[in-house]
Amino acid sequence: MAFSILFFIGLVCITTFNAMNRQLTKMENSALILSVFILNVNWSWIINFELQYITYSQSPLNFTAYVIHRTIIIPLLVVIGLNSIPQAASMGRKLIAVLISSFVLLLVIMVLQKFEVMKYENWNAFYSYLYYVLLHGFGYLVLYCYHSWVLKGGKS
Amino acid sequence: MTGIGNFSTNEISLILMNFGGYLLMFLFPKRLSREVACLSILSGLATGMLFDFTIGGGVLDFYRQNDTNHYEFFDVVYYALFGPAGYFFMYFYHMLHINKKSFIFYITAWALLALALQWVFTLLDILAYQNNYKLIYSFPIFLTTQAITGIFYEFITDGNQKEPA
Repeated sequence: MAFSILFFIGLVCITTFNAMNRQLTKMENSALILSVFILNVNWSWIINFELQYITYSQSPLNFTAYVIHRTIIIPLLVVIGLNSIPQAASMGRKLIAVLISSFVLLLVIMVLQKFEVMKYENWNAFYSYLYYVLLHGFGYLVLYCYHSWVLKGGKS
Repeated sequence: MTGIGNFSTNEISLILMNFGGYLLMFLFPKRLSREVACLSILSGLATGMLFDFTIGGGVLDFYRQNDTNHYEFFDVVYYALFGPAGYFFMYFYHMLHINKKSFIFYITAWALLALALQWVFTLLDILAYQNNYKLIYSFPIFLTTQAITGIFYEFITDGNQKEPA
């Protein structure tokens, strides 16, 4: 059940990203998705498997649901969140978009918990929410570095 | 989590290979634009991590990196090796003007090279297979990752990458 639902959510994320009016170029979006994925996959491993603050089901299908969540849903939802607001928007609007986007990520976590794919041990929803907000901040940092080092650093 | 573990052949090899890989990246003539070069390194890192964290750990846990099954500093050094690999994949893809006809030969060559490198990694104790995993099982994985990277290159350059000025 968890696998089917997470697969569906993953597909919804892909189609939403494909259909939305994106504010960033495909190069920027590619750099963002890859960077967020790299950070998130390392973070997930350390928090879940090394420190075991969150434990995951050992059932193969539930683990596949976890992999879909870690690999596709989290990076795409962050990138959708960052693409939903124009780059020229005020800090307040950007912050509201980040808070809403992080809440959507938290809802997905609730689905994972409902189907017993994951369980909080020494962790809680607030920590997850804080992590997602910071992950969006990391996304903005990647964009800043991309513009400073890659685009302005030397013209192709 | 482990810090450095037992500093031996695998750690020394990883330092030397990283040094060699990144040095070559800087020494080779610049043929990729900055954007493509940046994305090539990121895609190499992401692809390597995707598979290592999926089949090299968790429920499957098909291989051990370095000294333990736990995350250690030299695992990060190992992942860093995927950066130059991604860069040179796109570098030669561009330099050799790979097209639809030569695509399969190019990704097969890279998959075989990756297979040979993985074999060397097992000799150097950087990788150790477990749970009945065999080297040949990596071949379809490499073919898939190289094909996706090739398609990704075509996507970001619209199949028309220009030389940097």
